[in-house]
Amino acid sequence: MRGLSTVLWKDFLLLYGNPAAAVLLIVLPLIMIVFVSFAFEKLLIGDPRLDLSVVDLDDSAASRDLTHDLDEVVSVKEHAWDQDRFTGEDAAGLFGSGRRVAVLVIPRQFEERRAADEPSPLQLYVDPAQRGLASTLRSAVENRLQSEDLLETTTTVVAEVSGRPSEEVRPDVEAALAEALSDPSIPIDEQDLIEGRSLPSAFEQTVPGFTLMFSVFLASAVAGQIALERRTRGTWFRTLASPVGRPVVVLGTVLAAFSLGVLQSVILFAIGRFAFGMELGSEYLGLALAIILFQMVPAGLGLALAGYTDNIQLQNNIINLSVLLFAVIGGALLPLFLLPDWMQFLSRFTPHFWAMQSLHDLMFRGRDLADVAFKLSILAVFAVIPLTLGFLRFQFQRDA
Amino acid sequence: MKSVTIRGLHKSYGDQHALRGIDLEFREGEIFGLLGPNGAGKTTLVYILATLRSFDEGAVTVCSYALPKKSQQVRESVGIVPQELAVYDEFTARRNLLYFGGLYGIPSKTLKERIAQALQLVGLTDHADKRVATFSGGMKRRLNLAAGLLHRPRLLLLDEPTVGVDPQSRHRIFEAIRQLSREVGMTILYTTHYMEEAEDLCDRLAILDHGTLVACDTVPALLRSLGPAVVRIEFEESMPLAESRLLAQPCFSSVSTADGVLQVGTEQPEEALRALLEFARQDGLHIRDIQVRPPSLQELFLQLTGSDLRD
Repeated sequence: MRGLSTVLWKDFLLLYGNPAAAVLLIVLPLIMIVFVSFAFEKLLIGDPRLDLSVVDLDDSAASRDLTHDLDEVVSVKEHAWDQDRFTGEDAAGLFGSGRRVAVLVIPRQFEERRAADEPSPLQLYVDPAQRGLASTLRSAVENRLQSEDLLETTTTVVAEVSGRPSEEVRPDVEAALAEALSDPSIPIDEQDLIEGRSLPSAFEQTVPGFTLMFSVFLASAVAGQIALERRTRGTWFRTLASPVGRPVVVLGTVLAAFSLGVLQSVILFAIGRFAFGMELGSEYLGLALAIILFQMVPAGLGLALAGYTDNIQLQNNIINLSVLLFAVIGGALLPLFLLPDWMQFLSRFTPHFWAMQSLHDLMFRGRDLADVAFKLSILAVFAVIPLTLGFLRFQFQRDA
Repeated sequence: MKSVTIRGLHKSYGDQHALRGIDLEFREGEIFGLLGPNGAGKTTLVYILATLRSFDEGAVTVCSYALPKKSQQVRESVGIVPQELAVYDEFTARRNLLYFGGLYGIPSKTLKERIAQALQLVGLTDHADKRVATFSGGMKRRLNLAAGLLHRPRLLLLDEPTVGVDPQSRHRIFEAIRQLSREVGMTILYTTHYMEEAEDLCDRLAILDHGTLVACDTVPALLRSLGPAVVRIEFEESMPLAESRLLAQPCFSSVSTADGVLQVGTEQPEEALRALLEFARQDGLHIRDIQVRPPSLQELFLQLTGSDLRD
């Protein structure tokens, strides 16, 4: 196509010479990847225990045993407290900064009352701003306390039946219960789909997601560049007055943005691989195809937008919305299982879903290119539709 | 030889008529001026000739190629210098020219030679490798002109190329345009709303007003239509004498009135002045200012359109 190399060269220089593009496409996602990976490491790599503050006002053997037991189901953060009473004000002070969801207080004389079979309720203070998480925490604590009750009741029954003292039978009962709980009668046999593959790290979850999420900003580069040339510069008119056809003029912008998108993915995946030990699997061709097809989406979206509006503010609003919405619904920002069913259904209508699933298949699920061919085909449809709409729009515009 | 022939050209944007039945011809090698206020249709006409706008009715032939059928050939033959600064601030002057020249598929060696010539023509040789963002407005305008010349167009369309330009740059641009017309034989369409520019530079002029062609001829011939002199009287009162009464005077060849200003073209300035003073006395009008001078395009425009060009 005549003039394509000239137009491409110009668009490459304009786009690659723009430091804002590098910041938006490389630096910002990298910052997000690092911070989110560390911030949600526990959630992403499978240790979702919530933090629980425990204030032990009794400081007895029984209270320490309870604290130790609770630490098996929640992550206990102990707080020493010298005062005689612990009030709601003190609790509010503990989770006022948002670092704690709930505070469990073991009251004074807890051990004595337990020994005397008197009620000795624990006090649970819940952060009103985090009620949802607090109920999960409460269930975990209650389960643990019910296990304790089960031990006591079983010990009493066994002692009565056997005629032996409770203190004597207790260790045996405790051992039997522990064995039963750790080895249930209906066992779970976890199947290893990819032999020898360690669990995905937090970075292996975040690098693909944030790479896809931020590359949608490239649509701004395409739409903005075309709008800028049309609205504020005579360069658009001068270029279109040359023998170079209109589709070639916009193709240069599209290809430059597309190449920058591919480069962004390569850089972020390389950083993930070499700086954070991210494993890429062995299907490099499949990964490359997924990335190439996905990067055509923002280029096409930008072109289609530019074909219908020169309003840069409107373009940016639409693109910013697309970046966030597609990333959330498509599973690039959050794992899909965290989304409600209706949103999981909607995710199929985003290119992010098909790209993320293809990448996860190839990187973590041990699938090969043939296995993800269908998903990549759907992704290709998402790429081709906006590109076609955009090119047709420019091809058939009568006036510059 | 005709470089451009336009017959019955109509162009509308929705309900708004930009051009209403324009008939024009540009001769090869001439500098043809297109004069008119903002919104007269000048830029629309330029964009139609550059194939950037379609038209509704009429026939347009550019460098022997009929539009819109032969748009591609027309684009090869035409150069445009748009009203907007059509250069990239991010690039150097040379890189801009490499880009715009590259669009025409000019071989690299030839293009480099032409860039050097174009830069010299507009006086930017010493600034070739500086970023355009550091240029003054006048320098950008000169580069804007250079970018339209690289493929040696047979027709160069200059759409208000001196807007916001300092006198030095304006002089440079004028010199370059004259040189292109005289030495290269390039046909130049020059649109402006500066009367002095049109008078000074153009071989022939067309005056457009509200999309209609109101006059087209050489500058001396257009001025002659007003007579050898113009008598201009400014009254204290807003409503001057009725035109019909004045036109009955045999010594007035043309009459125009606007905003308390009466202007007559005349072969006999003394007779005309005497008659005007008599009219003013009879009607009880008070005179603020009187001028008798050779006619200018300003007066011609006022007479033809009834309004000042810069309104």
